[in-house]
Amino acid sequence: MDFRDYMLFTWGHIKHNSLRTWLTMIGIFVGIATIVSLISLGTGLEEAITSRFSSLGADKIIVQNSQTLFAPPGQGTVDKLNDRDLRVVKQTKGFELVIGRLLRFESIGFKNKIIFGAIISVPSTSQGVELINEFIGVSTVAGRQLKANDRGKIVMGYDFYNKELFEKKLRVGDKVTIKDKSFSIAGFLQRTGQPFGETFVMMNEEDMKNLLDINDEWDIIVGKVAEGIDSVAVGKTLDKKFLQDRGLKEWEKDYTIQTPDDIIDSLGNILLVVQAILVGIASISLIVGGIGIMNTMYTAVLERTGEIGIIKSIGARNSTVLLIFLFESGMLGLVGGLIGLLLGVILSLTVQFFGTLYFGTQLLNASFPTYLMIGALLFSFSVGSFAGTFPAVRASRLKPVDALRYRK
Amino acid sequence: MAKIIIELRDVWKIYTMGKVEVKALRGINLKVRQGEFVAIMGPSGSGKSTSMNMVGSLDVPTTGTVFLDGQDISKLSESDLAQLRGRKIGFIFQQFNLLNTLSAIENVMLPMIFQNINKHNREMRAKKLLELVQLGHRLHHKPAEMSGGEQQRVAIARSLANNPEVILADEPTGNLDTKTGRIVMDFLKYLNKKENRTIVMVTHDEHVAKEAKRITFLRDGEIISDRTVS
Repeated sequence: MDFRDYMLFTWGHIKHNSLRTWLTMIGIFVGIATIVSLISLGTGLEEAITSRFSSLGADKIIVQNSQTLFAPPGQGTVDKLNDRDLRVVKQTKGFELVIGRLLRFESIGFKNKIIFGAIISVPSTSQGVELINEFIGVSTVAGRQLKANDRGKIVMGYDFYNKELFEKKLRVGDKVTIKDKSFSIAGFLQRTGQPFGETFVMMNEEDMKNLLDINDEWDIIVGKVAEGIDSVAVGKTLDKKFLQDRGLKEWEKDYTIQTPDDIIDSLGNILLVVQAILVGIASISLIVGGIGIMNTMYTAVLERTGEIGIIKSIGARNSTVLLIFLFESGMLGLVGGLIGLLLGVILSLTVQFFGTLYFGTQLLNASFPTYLMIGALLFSFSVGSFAGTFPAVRASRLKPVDALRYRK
Repeated sequence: MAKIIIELRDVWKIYTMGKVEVKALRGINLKVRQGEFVAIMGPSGSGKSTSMNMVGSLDVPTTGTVFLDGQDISKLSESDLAQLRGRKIGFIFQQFNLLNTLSAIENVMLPMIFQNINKHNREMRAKKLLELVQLGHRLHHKPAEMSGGEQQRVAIARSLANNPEVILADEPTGNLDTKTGRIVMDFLKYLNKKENRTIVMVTHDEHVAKEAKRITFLRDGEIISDRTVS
């Protein structure tokens, strides 16, 4: 018997019981559609994040003191990086440019209202400004970016422009009070997607040091690795230099050096865990679908007992009967999977469409790797076949004389 | 003498229903030779259906031996027996027993599919057989679209699919009116006379049994007469 011969049996019954066939397949295709869309959106998200990180920071190394991560906002007393650290980085071979950055929380006032937000420093050199702009990676939504020689001017995050954080929305040229000094707004950035949100203020480094009375302190040191040089190797050299400079042993380390690979790796791991959990939940619906197929196949065996008797009496081997039923349940799974795959793709593209339309984010891009497509079909076929195994074995073991008696 | 195709040697079949033992067959001895046309007769409960299952090797005896073409069927696996049965015996049932989801020609091809005969050959043969039973114009009709007589003729064509030596007919006219029953009987006689096929037919109808050359009469699981009709 070949494929078409098995199809002869399966097709007849699918047509004969089309409602039941559909109901059975719904169980499978809901599960497959969910899994496909979850994985495709998850993969798309991972790709978007990875590509964004690598375009912004594949050549950047970030140094932070470990404690700064846990420091309460606005406190400068916890061990900060200092000019000496900045020098250590600058003296390490392989960097094209090294800048120190400050990140503090401070009051921002407009008219009678005061809120708190992050204040971020912008270097006084145009190269440094360029690096920062590259790092944040977005252009302005209004006004212009901060220049190296801008004093008394600030650029603000998207929320200041878009939301009514004060009595009214802020506009270019408005004057806001930060701590106790007045600054004029030069521009607003577009949405950045940075972890510290969209309510930040960018200000010249010198302005910031004067305003907050900062001396010999840095929160982050960012180094741009020169083109053609391996940033991971530079990171390792830098690590050794830091240990040496601070006179620490490996286990006493009180700072972190992040190369882009670290960041992408850790993000990738988080995404993988989240995705695994979601797919695990979706798989439950597939198990339910498999039980549906099993149920249908048991019913089919009962219904077709007489038919099994006939085909056995005219020469069908047990193995043939087994394969006929396995083929049918496998087909239910496979066709269910095919429909599910199609629905999953449509669902993902719909999410992508509305994601772009309403949230303006490129992060909800759907991605359809080949392994997902083939895997989904293989998986649904296996679920179908597996669910059909027990009913098929039962069918194949019927004795022809007993089976024929069932015939009405 | 022609060779023996089917032999039942001291065959007993005992069913246990709850605590009661039912002795359906009590030591049956029967030899069917090539070219014979045997009718197995008897009232209901006489064991004729059980003996039919033995002759057709659809069931195995409790004790005793059944030989199909010289082979002891109890020595074969269920699958090998199915294969042998598919090659040696063609079945015609009272309820026709066609597969409702398949067309006439697909039903006739079925026994050939199980013998792994290639698509071209089985299509040719199925067509020829359906033409033989005068259903050449109904090849692609489903059983539900055919009359009882037509369905039984499809079943006859199917029974001939693998060119079997024996045709086993279980009340072949039981569900048909006299006229269509007549046509079916004429076919069986034709197959016996012109093609020298062995036919074993189970019936309770005396008129039908008279068409056979030999009548074996069962009562209470025993053969009480076995005579050749002139």
